[in-house]
Parts: sequence; structure tokens; C-alpha cells
Amino acid sequence: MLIYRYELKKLLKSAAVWGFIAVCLLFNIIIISNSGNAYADFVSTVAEDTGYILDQSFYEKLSQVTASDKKAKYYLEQLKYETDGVTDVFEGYEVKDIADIYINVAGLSGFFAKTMRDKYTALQKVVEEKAERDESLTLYFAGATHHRHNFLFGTLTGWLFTEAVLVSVLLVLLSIGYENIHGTENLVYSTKKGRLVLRPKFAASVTVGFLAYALLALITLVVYFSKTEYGGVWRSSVSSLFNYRVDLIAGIRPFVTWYSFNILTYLMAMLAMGAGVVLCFMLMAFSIGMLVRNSYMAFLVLLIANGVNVVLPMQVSQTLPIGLAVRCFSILSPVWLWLKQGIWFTDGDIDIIWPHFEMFGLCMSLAVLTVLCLLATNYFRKRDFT
Amino acid sequence: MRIVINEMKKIWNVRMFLIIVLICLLFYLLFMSFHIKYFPNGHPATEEVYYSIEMLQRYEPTLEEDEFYEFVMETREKLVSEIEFYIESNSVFANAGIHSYEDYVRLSEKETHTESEREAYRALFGEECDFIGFRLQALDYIEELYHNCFSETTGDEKYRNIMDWHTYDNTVNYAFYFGILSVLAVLLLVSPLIVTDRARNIHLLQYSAKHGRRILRTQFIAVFLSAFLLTTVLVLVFGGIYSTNGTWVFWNSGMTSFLNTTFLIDITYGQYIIVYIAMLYTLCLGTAATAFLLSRFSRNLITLMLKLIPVFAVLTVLCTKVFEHTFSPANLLYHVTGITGIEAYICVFVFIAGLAISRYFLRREKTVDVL
Repeated sequence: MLIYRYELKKLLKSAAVWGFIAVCLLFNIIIISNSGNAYADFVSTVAEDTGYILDQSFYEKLSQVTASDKKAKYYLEQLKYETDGVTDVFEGYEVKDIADIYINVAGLSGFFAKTMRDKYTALQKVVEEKAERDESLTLYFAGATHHRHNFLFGTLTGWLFTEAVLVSVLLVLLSIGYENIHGTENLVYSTKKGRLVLRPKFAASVTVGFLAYALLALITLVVYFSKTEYGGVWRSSVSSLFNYRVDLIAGIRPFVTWYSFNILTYLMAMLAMGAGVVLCFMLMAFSIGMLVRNSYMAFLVLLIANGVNVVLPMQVSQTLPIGLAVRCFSILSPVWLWLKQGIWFTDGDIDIIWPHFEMFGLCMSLAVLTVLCLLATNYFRKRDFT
Repeated sequence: MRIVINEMKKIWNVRMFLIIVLICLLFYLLFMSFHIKYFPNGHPATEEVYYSIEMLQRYEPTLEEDEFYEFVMETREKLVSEIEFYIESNSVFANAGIHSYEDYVRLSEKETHTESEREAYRALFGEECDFIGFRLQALDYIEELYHNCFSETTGDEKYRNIMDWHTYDNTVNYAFYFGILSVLAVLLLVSPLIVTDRARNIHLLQYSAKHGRRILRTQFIAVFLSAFLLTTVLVLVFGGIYSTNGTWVFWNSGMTSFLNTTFLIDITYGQYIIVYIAMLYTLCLGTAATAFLLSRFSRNLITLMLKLIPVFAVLTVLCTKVFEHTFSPANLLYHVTGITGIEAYICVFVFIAGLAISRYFLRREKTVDVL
């Protein structure tokens, strides 16, 4: 515990880490400051009076809303126009066609085609349940939904996860490479604790990594929510009829999630999933840091390993079953999970054959990386340092 | 010189060289290979590039009015006779009641079509008719561009250049990613030199040697030469790969053309590429100087990396702004400042600033307290 505390202190005292976090926050604030949407803010303010469910009461309350100035009057008219006569998008919505399009375009066959079909059969039931609950008949941000949803759950959280992954990976490499960097390796490993010192080092770096992620997320989201209005729509479903996905293969389609999420629960789920991805990258950094003693090289090897993981499925011929297998399984790796962050908890896209791909991928990645870490630690225990 | 070479040997170690090669390969496969594999990208881009090259080969870099009309007339005649041949030999057209090119034109002008008419219309755009529909479309488009341009800018001879827009766009996209790759490679290669010595306090030993504190200047020269060498290798390798696209035929063509966009300076495609390479060198050398400074003020390789990432992000944004539509009014830097050639000035500024700050710290190192 004492070593853990000292290791923690060592990492927390690193000015460069704090500087990096500050730069990341500055960047996030810059992108937040350019994301304003006055109409979306107006919709959320109105929703405080009207509620977010598009039922009779909503329309009655909306008709009583008065506009104070010319701009508000224009926005009110726009909101009335957009919400007038809307219907449930999930009523009679068939997702089977999407499976067929994906299978044809991706050239899937056998097991892969069957898994893709099964996914959309399962999704059809989810769609029907959503239709029963009238889940799409919620306001979200009306006509500004797509822009605001994509900014929060695509751009902002995307950058947040990127920054968290970078800082946590570098913290792990800094912690386990510290003795090598300062030439104290032989001295430390010859003590009673010996090479077991890596355990508190790893625990400390994971703790600081998660703290950095929490700090980045907290400050970024506080700045974002203080700048944008979410007042009356927090409990609006993310599968609102106003939300949609632009899919280059299957066309524009509703935003269907496996579970019923409102904005708040979806954000929480995204952040939790983000923490899982950050942990995966930390485990990866730990494994590589064990094998490559030079921290700089270890970071570059980590970059290359993930780069290969991205490039390989694109280069392998998709006409062979092995090519399809590489493509379908590589999606479950941390780097692909990170790249597909905008469609977590949905059915995914043409690359994804698995239902709940993010959870499946996260569990698979954690399991594989834990085994890799154990193997790397085992190798390190017997490593010759002379 | 002996010390410079030995310092360069430290930079160019085998492991680092392999890492750089792998990163370049991955970056190329991810971002750059598309611009080689898919050039020209689809239809009618393929036909437009083809006609531009044909015009260039027939009439040299500029196109006079009579030459243009001669080209359009001859090409259209050939196309029409080819279309007539396809119409006669393919039953799809007979089924739709098309027996001549005139029938086909009448069909295309109709507002509503039957299924057999739609099929006949589409047939000319298919592989079985050698994409002749697209060739005709490309010729019409070129003719439209010519008329638009010369009705608005009568007498402006610079628009008579033959420079294809797709070629320009392809070159710019490739050059933009290549710029980012070069900056990344230089940052990764030269950064560890100083910090590796300093993390283990080797610099104190070096400072007590005969060469003394001049070692830092020597290391700076090694960093600079390595960056120059790496940029040269990258230009040769990726320039060589790009040459397979065959865009060199436009080497002597002026960039401002009725087929292309307007440029702020009178420059040919070849000169444009040479200026781009010169800008890339200045940016890479400026990057090397920045990497040297970051390395000098980092205590270990990870703190160096924590500084390199934001710097790389800034340089990437800079590359985006500098190499996107360089020297054209569409360039964002020009759009904001209104200064012609601002892209080149910024590269020179990065170079001079890096050099000047490095020089300041190199001079200061002679008297700084190292303990």
C-alpha cells in the first residue's frame, strides 16, 4: 500500500500530465464554444412548460406558449410545424431489409450472414416494443436533434475518449517505464519487493488513468451543459422520431438502441463504456510496456499494433471466409470499439454482425488483454536485464 | 563532423527506422493509397481526365478558341457515330423505339419514361456500351465550362490553360496527407535524441568533455540534417508512388484553367509541385527545430510524448490549412488574411521561429547552470 501511495504521488506530481490534461480541456472548450444552436436551446426551454412527450397535453401546452420577440416567434412557429401531425416511426418499421442490404453489399455468407440476420430478427422485436411504448414520440430537440445528438455523443465524447485513452496509456507507460528511464531498474528489482513492484505501479497508473478520465469528463460536461440548454428534454428518448442515422449503405434510418435510453441514461452508459475502453487500452499499454522497455518505443508499438488492427480488415480479401472472420472479429477490438463510438448500444453498421457489439467487444477485449497482461508479466518475471 | 555523424547514428538506429517505416506504411494504407488506387475516381471523372489529357496532347498547354471547337466537333462526331453503332447493335434501344442518336436525345429530354425507355437510357452509361454516355456527358460538361468561363472573363488568356480539376484535387489531397505524414515522421524520428541523454544525465558528462557545451549545437545540427534526410527520402518514396498516377503530363500546364479553379499566382502544375516540396521542407525543418526544443525541455520520453501530441495536433491543423487549395482563393488562410502566398509565409515563419528560438537556447546553454 505504501508503494502504491508513492507511485500514485509520483504520477500525480508529473507537471507534463497536468499540462496535457489542461491542453485537452482547452481544446474541448474551444469545440464546445463553436457548437451553439439557438433553436435547440429554445426547444429545451419550451419543453420545460410543455413536457417532452408528444401527446395531447403537449400540443395543448404548446398552443399556449407565447413568443417574446421576433426570433422566438420564428422558432415557435418552426417547432409547431415540426411537431404537427407526427407519427410513431417504429410503427410498422421493418429492419429485415437492412440485414439483406448489408449481407449483399458486404458479401457475407454462412455463419456471418446468419449472425447478421439473427441480429436484425432480434432488433425487430426491440422495434416492436419501442412502437408499443410510443418511444419515438418524444421531443428531444425537434429539428435540431441530429446536430445536437451527434455533437454530444459523436464529436464531444469521441474527443473525450481519445484524450482519456492517450493520457491513461501514457500514464501506464510512465509508471512501468519509470525505473528504466531513470536507470534505477537494477536497483529496484534487486530489493525484497523485486519485480512485484509492478503490481502497485499498475494499480497506481490505472487509478490515475481513471481519475484523469473522470476529471476530463467532469469539466468538459460541466462546461458543455452550462453552455447549452437541456432543461426540459433530459428524459426524452434518444430513439426519438427526430433522431436519425445517416447510413451510407442502408440510407437514412431511425436511431434504434437495444435498450430504452433517455438522454441522461444514454450519456451515463456512454461514459461507462468509455471507461471500459480506456481500461482496455491501459491493459494493452501494460502488456506492451512489459515487453518493450523503452517507453517511447512502447508507445509507438502500441500505435502500430492498433494501426495494423484498423488496416488489416481493409486489406484482407472479403471474398474468403478468413477475410470475413478478420473483419468481423477485429470489430470487437478496443481500437474499433473506439472508432465506432458514435453507434454504441445501437445495431451498428455494415461492419458489425454482432448484437450488443460494444458489450461483447468490451468483454472479449478485457478477457484477451487480461490474459496478455498475465503472459507479459510472467515473461517479465524471468527476463534477463543484463 | 565526426560527432555530428555519431549523433545521427543515434537518431537513425535500426529499431527507430523500422518503426518509422511501419508508421509510414500504415499511414499510406489508411489515408493515401485511396488517391492512387482510385484515380480518376469513377464516372464521369475518368472521361473528363481523359479528354483533358487528349486536349493537352493535341494542342499543348493552352487551348485557342478554334482549337477548342475543332476538338469538340471531332469528338462529338466520333461519339455520335459510336452511339449510332451501339443503338443499331443493341436490342434494348429498339425495344424502346430508339433507332438513331436523335431518337435518343428526344428520349433524354422527355419528362416521363417507360421502363424500357429507362433501360435504354441507362444502357449507354453501362460497361457494355463502353460508358459512352459518360463520355458524352463529360464532353458536354467541358463545353459548358468553356462557355461559362469565356463569357464571364472574355480575353483573359490565363483561362486557356489545360489543367484538369480532378488531377489538381487528387494532387492536393495526396499532398495534404503527405504533409501530415512527413511532419509526424520527423517529430518521431528526431525527438528522442536529447531527452534520452538528459534522462540519464549523460549531458553532464558530455559537457565536461573537450567538445563541452557545444555538443548541444552539434546535436541540433544532427537533428536538422536527419530531418532534411528523412524529408528527402519521404519525398522520393511517396513522390515516386504518386508518379504512377500519370499526372505528370500536366507538368507545364498553367493551374488557372477553364477546367480548373482560379489561382492567385500565375503558376504551372510543375511549379506548383516544386513550391509544395519547398514548403514541405521548410515545415519539416521547422518541425525538427520544435522537436529539438521540446526534447531539450523534457525530463523523460513520456513527458516528451505528452508534449509531442498537442504539437502534432497543431501542426496537423497547420498542414490542413496550408496544403488545402494552396494559392487559390478557396484557401482558408487566404480567405481570412487576404494575403497572397500566406501559406508559404506561414511555413517560412514556422521554420524561422523554430530556428531563432533554438539559437537562443543554444546560446543560453553556454552559460546556464546545469545542476
